[in-house]
Amino acid sequence: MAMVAAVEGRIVEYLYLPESNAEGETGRTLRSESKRNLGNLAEASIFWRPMFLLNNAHRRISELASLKSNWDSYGAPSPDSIAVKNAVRILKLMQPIDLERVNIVPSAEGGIAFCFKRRDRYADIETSNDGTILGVSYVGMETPLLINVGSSEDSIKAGLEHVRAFIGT
Amino acid sequence: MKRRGRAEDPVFEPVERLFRRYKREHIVGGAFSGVGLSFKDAPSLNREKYSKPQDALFSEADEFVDWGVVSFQVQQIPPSVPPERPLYNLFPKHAPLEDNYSHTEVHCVRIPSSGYVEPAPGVRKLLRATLGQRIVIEIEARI
Repeated sequence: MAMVAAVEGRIVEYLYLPESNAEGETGRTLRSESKRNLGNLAEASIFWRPMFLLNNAHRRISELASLKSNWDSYGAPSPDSIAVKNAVRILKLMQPIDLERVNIVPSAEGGIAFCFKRRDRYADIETSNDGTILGVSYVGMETPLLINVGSSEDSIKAGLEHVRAFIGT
Repeated sequence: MKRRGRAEDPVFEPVERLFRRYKREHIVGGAFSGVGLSFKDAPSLNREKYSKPQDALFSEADEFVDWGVVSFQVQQIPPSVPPERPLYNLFPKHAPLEDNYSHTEVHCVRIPSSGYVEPAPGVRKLLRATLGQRIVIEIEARI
């Protein structure tokens, strides 16, 4: 049995073997290939891809939440529960296009940052351990502009919209 | 790298580079993100006059073997921030350690001058972004 999906305009056929009673090395190979094909199918699906990216982003925030202090070897604090909570709030307000582009990284000041870069345009939104949410945007070597995001849902949405418009499509 | 009784050297040439180790996650789209810097306290660096980029990765336990090194020049530190209405002056300060003579900090003092102060959050954010723009990769991180 095969599954068919459109991937970037191409029709791709995936072998679908949910169960296999084959034993030994052949069985393991079949099951492993089946699992990989299903993963590829989900990742390429217009429906599943945003969920796949959102899941990856949540997993990344969990990883950062478990960082030990001094993770940068210069004494950086680990992201605390306030920063993590705000990071999850920001993530919930992101659109699929944001999830495609975002790099989620730990902040050396303590917190979590959502960074975006496209050509010479850079923007980020950083949620700090002290509860502040600030962003910045710049083009090349031009003077950076501060994005005063604030912590309300509306201001986070506005910050994300600013970043989206700034980074462009 | 040992200090061996040497005094502080307050003289910095404008083109002298300051080195700092980093991990790959702070490279976004091929450039260093200022998110990887902190001005909560004076950030630590190694100065070029007394060290090489790879010295920033030295550790007796080899814990930084896969890390990378970035740098910026002394002249790339904004002398005062914010530019339109300066509240803080910034400058490099040689702060030798017994096991690292090249150790240097970027100090931030309020105008008029006092000890190191943590700049206001918005000023810090812009300062980190500004230095992030100017930072170059000296040794690429593998982790």
